[in-house]
Amino acid sequence: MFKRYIIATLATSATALFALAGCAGSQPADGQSAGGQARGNASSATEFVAAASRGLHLDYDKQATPKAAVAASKLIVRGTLVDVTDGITFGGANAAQAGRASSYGTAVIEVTSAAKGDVAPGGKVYAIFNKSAVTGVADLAATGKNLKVVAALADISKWSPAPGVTVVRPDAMPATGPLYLAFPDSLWLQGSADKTMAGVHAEPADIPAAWGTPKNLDQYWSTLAKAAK
Amino acid sequence: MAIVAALAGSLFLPGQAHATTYPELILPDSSLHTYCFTAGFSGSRDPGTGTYAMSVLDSTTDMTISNLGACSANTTDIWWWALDLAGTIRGEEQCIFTSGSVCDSADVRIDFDQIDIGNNDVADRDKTSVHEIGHSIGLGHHSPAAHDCAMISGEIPSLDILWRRYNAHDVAHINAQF
Repeated sequence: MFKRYIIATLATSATALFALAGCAGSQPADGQSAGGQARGNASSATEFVAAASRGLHLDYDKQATPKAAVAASKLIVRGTLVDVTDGITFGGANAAQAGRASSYGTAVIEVTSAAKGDVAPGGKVYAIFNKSAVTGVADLAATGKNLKVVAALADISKWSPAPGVTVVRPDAMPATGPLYLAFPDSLWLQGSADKTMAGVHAEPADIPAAWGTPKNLDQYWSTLAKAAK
Repeated sequence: MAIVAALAGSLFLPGQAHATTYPELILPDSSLHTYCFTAGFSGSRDPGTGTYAMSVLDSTTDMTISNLGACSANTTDIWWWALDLAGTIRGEEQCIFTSGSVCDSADVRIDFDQIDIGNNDVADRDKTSVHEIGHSIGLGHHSPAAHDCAMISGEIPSLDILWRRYNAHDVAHINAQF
C-alpha cells in the first residue's frame, strides 16, 4: 500500500512539474486545431499538418543552405494546394519488403510561379510527400485545400526502396515524366489566417542558420528564388 | 517525500523549457515493448543497431522489451526494416495499426546509406535507432534549443554518448507514463 501511495504521489508531482517545465500532459484531441478551427476550413495549415504527421516521425538530413536545396531539387514552385490524392504504392516480386503500409500522399499544386524548372502559371504539379499511414487522403484534402504552398521537389523516378520492389504511380498522377518528391523540410504551407508557415515534418525553427530566419512563405520563397538565380 | 524531492530536482535541467510536448498523440499500449526484425533488417549491414536501441530503452527506462524473433504478428509493437528511404530520410517511425490513441504496431525503417553519409557511422546508426524508438514511446523531436539527446534530427554532432541516450527529463516522462 505504501509503495502504491509513493507511486501515485510521484505521478501527481511529476505531472505538475512537467507543466511547470513547459511540457503539457496531453495534446488537443485529434482533428481539433489549437484555435478551435472547424474541420475542413483550410484557412490554417495547423489541422492539415497534424493530420498528415499523425503517428509518423522522420529523421532526416536537412537542406543545409538555400543553394543546396536548389541543387538537390528538380523543380521549385509556389502555388496553391488544390487537392491531396493517393500516393505511390509498391509492386514487384518483393513488394512486401517495402513496409506494411503505403505512407505517401500526393499534393496537387496549382502553380503560380516557378523558381526552378519549367512549369507555366496555372499548371499542376503532382508531388508525393510522406504522410501518416493512419490518416486518409480525403481528410488531408479536406483540411488542406486552398492552403498556399512552396515546394522544392526532387525527381525520384529511378528510386526503389528495396531490390525487387517497383514504384507504382497512382491513377491520378501522370503516368510518365518525373516523379516528384517533396523533401521533409521543403514542403511548406500557410493559410490566410496563419502568420507563419508550417511543414508536415519541420517547423521554421528547424531551418538551418544559413537560410536566415524565414518565418513565412514570402520569406522562404524569396530566399529560395534568390538562390536559384 | 525525499524521493519526490529528488525526482523534482532531476526534472529541472538546463535548457528543458523548449522540450517538445509529451506525450505525442499516439502511445504504445503498455510498458512492454515487443519487437521483431524483418528479413531485410536481419540481413542488413548492421542489425545490431536495432538490438542496441531496444537495450537502451530497457536499461535506461522503466520499460521492458521482448524480442519476438521473425516478424509475423501485427500486434508486435515494433517491426524493424532496412530500406532505401526516399530523399534525405535517415529513419522513420510509422504507426501502422492504431486503437484510438494507442499504437498497436509500428514500423521503424532505417536507411543505412543515408545515415552513413558523413562521419561516425556506427554511432550515428545507433543514434537514429534510439531516436526512432523514442518516437514510438511518445517522444517528439527536440529543437536545437532543447536539451541534448538522441531526439535531435540529423547526424550526431560528436561521439558523446549523450546523443545515443534519452535525456533524464525524457526518461522521467516515460517512467511516469509507463
